[in-house]
Amino acid sequence: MDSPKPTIGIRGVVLLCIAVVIFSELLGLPILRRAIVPAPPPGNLVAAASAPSLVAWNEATIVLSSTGNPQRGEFISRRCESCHGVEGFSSQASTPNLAGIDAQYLWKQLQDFRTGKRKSVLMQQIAGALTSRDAADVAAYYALLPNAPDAQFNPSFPQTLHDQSAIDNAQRLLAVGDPKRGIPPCQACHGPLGYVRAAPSLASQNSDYVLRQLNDFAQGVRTNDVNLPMRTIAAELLPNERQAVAEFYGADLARFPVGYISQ
Amino acid sequence: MRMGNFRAYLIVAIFSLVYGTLRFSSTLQAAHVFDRRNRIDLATLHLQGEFIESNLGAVRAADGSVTIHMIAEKYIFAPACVTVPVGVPIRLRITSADSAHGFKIAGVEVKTLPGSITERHLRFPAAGKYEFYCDEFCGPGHHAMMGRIVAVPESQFQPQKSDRGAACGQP
Repeated sequence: MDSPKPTIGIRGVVLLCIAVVIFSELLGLPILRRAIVPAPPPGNLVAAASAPSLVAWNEATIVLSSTGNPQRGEFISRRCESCHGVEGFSSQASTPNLAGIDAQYLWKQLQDFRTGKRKSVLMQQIAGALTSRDAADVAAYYALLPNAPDAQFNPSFPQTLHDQSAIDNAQRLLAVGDPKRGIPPCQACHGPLGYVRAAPSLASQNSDYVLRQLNDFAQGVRTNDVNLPMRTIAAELLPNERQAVAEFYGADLARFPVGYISQ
Repeated sequence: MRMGNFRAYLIVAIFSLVYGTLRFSSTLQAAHVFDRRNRIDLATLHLQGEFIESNLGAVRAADGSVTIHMIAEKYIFAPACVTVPVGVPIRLRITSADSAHGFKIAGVEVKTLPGSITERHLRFPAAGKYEFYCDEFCGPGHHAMMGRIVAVPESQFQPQKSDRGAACGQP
């Protein structure tokens, strides 16, 4: 057997590796410290006049818009009933249903009406009379209403399909969109497959209303979608595709994710 | 186990090479992401700073350089279609409004994180439509998240022409 000579051994290897780790961490510190410099001012491009919306989703607005008082909102909703219906289902197909709507979405729309970022002669006046807290309360109330319509009292929803052959077209757009044209599936943001902040659920929305909003987005009449998502997508959709999608939603066919087995 | 000095030094050398490389690159990335010069408040992207709506798209500075400002968000790129001149160095400044997004265009890898501005330098060698798809999984609409950059001859380039929909890239 060979004579014992001094070796590093496993313990030495571990110690050397620890030394390497400490050395690397110390070496990285000045690089990270260099990053900690005062932030520059946000720049001289302040766009309140041309901004799509004045709502910024910071902690205060998220808390305010999602913690409204539905009991107080019920009293405020008396002003909405004549058009949007007692149960949140409108009697006219051109007026949106509000039952079960996302509270943050409704709050943002009321804010946009108040600040004139979404145009409507009637709604700008009505929303202008509300405070930001009132808007949160009424949004909380409508978010609680069941979005299943009572057929006896809600003649305009669901509507019958004018064009049965459009169902395939609409199902394709809801389920997969059109990747070659950059159209994401509707149900990825408008539910029930997925949601993003301040995108409304369209499962129980009137078709005439959906169609008018799509046309307004496409033509740049409605511009309160922050960072252009709906203006981009609606402009990409052909007129018959907008019609098909709107009728599909208006016929109450999007209650479950399209492409999934519902029952 | 008996271990010779050579083998011990080899283990330490391999460890320090692997660890050092990973640590160095991640430190550089962290330095970029946390660099306050690259930070931007994603709640107020549309209200202040360089990503306001009127500033999105390609602009040409006085010195002839072209800058693209773009926002990646679920599930589109805003603007979805940008026209740029061929053969000119282009600065792409991009940020995300929600989650991590990324794509590859003209041989350049672009990754973007919410709250952080990524800058890349591009050059388009030939005229044509360059399409790119998001390659960071970002949700159920990820597969259809697509943007286009249309390179046109210098004479046809109009800065910040808004081409949405089928008008994308039409002269």
